Amino acid sequence: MRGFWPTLIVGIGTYFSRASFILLLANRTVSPRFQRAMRNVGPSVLAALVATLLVGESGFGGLEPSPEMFALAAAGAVAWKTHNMAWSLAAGMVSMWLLGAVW
Amino acid sequence: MPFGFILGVAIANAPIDGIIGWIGSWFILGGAAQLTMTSLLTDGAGATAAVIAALVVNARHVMYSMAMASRFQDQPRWFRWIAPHQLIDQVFALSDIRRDVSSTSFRHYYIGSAITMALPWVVSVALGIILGARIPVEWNLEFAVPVLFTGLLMLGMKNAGAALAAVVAFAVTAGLSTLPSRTGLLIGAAAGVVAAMLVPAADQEPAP
Repeated sequence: MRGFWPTLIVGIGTYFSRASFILLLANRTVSPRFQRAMRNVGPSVLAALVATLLVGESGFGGLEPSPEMFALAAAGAVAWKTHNMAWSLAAGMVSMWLLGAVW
Repeated sequence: MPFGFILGVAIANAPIDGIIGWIGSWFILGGAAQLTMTSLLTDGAGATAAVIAALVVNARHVMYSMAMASRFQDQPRWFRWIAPHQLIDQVFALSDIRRDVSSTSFRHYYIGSAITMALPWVVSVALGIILGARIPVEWNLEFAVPVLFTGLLMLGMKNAGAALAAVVAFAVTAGLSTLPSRTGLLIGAAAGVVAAMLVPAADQEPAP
């Protein structure tokens, strides 16, 4: 049963983040400032996740040029240009394989 | 659905039982949240940090909930309880453009969208879990996880505030990555949100 509790808690939390206004706060309005903060949570957490997975535990020292770093840049550029996650995934993985072979 | 497959592979390599991960894909029905939790647990994060990060990734769902709330007011109670479970990105996008139909047709349309999106999702997660252990390590398929997060990040880059939030969150998280249990990630993400508050509101209108 490894992973049971984290999965259960994330599932319940995810449900309530979606149900919050539909079920509980239907007639509430929220300040534009709060809405703005909520909109920027996604980009902040995703950037923090990419940083965590890229550098591991090595601090700024982990930010040396590497095939992984260039591959992420390629995936990001393709997602930005095409808005297509499949192309972005392909660009990132192929870049990493090619660069990894010649690095 | 490559995203579901990658999640399945990540579950296969994580300290999570395959069956728990797969039931979780039905229950959570949120790729970004489950992938966040799964990859952080594999990466050696504490369970608390992994769970908090996964829940914070879901903040955009609060926005969806807010946007859809008025459309659900005339729906029966059972549907208002069940529907939020399936309020994933695609279902929101599909149902948000069909708000003006009658209450009953909206409900049928919503349920149809949810089933169409959820079934391929859980099937692709199952495939990833089953095949994940057999994919050669040299392919480094684990790397697809940060690639996916980078893609999702760039799709959300809609204004100066989001860009500043991402840059600050990245830098602070990298700088604090020596902290135990990946707590630097939570501090970095919070720093990003706070930094974006400094950008004038006019530059942060939602993209049309």
